[in-house]
Amino acid sequence: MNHKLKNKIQTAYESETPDNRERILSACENEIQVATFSDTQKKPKWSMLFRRLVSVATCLILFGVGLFVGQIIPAPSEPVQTAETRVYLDVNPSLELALDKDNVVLSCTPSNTDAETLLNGMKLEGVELKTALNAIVGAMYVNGYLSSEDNSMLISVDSTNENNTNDFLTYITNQVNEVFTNSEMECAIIAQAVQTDETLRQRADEQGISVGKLYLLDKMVDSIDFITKEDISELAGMSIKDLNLLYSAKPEEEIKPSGEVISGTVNVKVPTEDAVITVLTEVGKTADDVEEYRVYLLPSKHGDKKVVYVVSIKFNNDDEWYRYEVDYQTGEIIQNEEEPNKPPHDNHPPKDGFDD
Amino acid sequence: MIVFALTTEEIQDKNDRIEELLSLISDGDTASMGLLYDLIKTDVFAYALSKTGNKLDADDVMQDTFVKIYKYAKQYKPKGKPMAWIITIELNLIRRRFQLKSRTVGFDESFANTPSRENVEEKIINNAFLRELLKTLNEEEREVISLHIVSGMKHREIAKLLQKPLSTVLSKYNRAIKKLQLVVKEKNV
Repeated sequence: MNHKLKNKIQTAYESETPDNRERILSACENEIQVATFSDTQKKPKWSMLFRRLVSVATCLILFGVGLFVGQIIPAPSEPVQTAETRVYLDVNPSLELALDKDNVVLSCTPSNTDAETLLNGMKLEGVELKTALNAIVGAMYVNGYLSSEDNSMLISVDSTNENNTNDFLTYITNQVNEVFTNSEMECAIIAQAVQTDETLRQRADEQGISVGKLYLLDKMVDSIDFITKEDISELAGMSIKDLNLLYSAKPEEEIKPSGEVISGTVNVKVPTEDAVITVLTEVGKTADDVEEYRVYLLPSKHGDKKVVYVVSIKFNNDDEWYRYEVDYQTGEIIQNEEEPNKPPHDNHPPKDGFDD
Repeated sequence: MIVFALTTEEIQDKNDRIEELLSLISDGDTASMGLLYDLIKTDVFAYALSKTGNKLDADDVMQDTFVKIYKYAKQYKPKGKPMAWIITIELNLIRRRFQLKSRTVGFDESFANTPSRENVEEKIINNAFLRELLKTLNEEEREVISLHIVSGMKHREIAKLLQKPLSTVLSKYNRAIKKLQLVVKEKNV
């Protein structure tokens, strides 16, 4: 039987397959331009001795004069073409470090006004990455941009040396955390390998965010079912902490698009259980009244550009699901509304941890 | 055009060739992408059509899939089953696409409110047998048929790929074949 039928099926699909060869190959060509953009960058020509001298001199300046000496005028940035590696740091201050092949800073460029303030008076050109990170992260901590409550950081690395990207991501993550060795604080870090190009930079400028943050948002669109391209503008306004929470809760990808190192835990004041208890208290019910519930970390529906707990709850003898938004920082109920017959995003993993 | 379903040896040769091309593509050989396209275009299109049920969406999915293959060829680790890797990419794109649609319009709504869709579909799909296949089989049956017959995947591989019991895959396949036999007999297509 089946041979004839199988051939019929095969023939049917074959005859219907469109000829998109040129269009598809052209689309692939565009991809390769993105992939090899950084390969066209020239390598810097610094002599080792000169680098060391500059490094030592700058360290002396940093240690001797302190991190915030407003009188020191930042040196002009190196031309962007000379960088071997670019490191983008996002906390809320966002900045870009251009490094040579020995991880010596060629330039440090603020990407927003907070970073301008932070970097004012710092001369980082010529110092080693480790020293620069120590100064920058230390300054973020001193100025309150990083704290035990707001401990999230996004590190994005665009390097011509793709082979060692993961090692480099781990190295830089460790260096950041070394700043806090003597305190109880630990940063929640997403370190990602990125490939930047003019299009990405242009889109980032349009959104008023760094290329690293936009790259993360693009990855979220690709990997999280309920986030779409249309959400990027909304998400662009969110803090790195909220994005870290959203991204950490994503389902594991089957194919990882790039190198990535995720470390530390985002500090959330209100635990999941408390969010559910808050909802029960609000509606005058107890755990015994609950037939089923789910808790997700999702963007608020109310245009607040923040992530909230969404508690979906179904009570005994009631066919409806009810949806509540709870602020994960204050534990306050933001708004509730009756849901249709099923909770949102069934493929989103529910949180454990509510026992009677 | 007459096409014959592949034998086991031919499927093995095809898989070897796909892996060879993926390796060349990952080394930057753009010409190999054209060869890969020629080799697997029907596999990719058939699976997209079986899942989406319409040619316009399948066309888009097909392009996106090849672009992703090109982009991530370096990440493929040769294990002798390149089609499973490719279909996984495609499946992720399809899920993503329908998630997007459901968010934009409401999935059921987008189809239910298009009364002329079937007519449009009939105009777009030229092959009468394929039109009947799309109408007669449900999505899961079409999926198994395209993976087994067009892409040459074994039922066990399909079960693993779709994370379903082997018995389920087999029963869907057998049911689909019976339905199609009936279609051929009754509609003479």
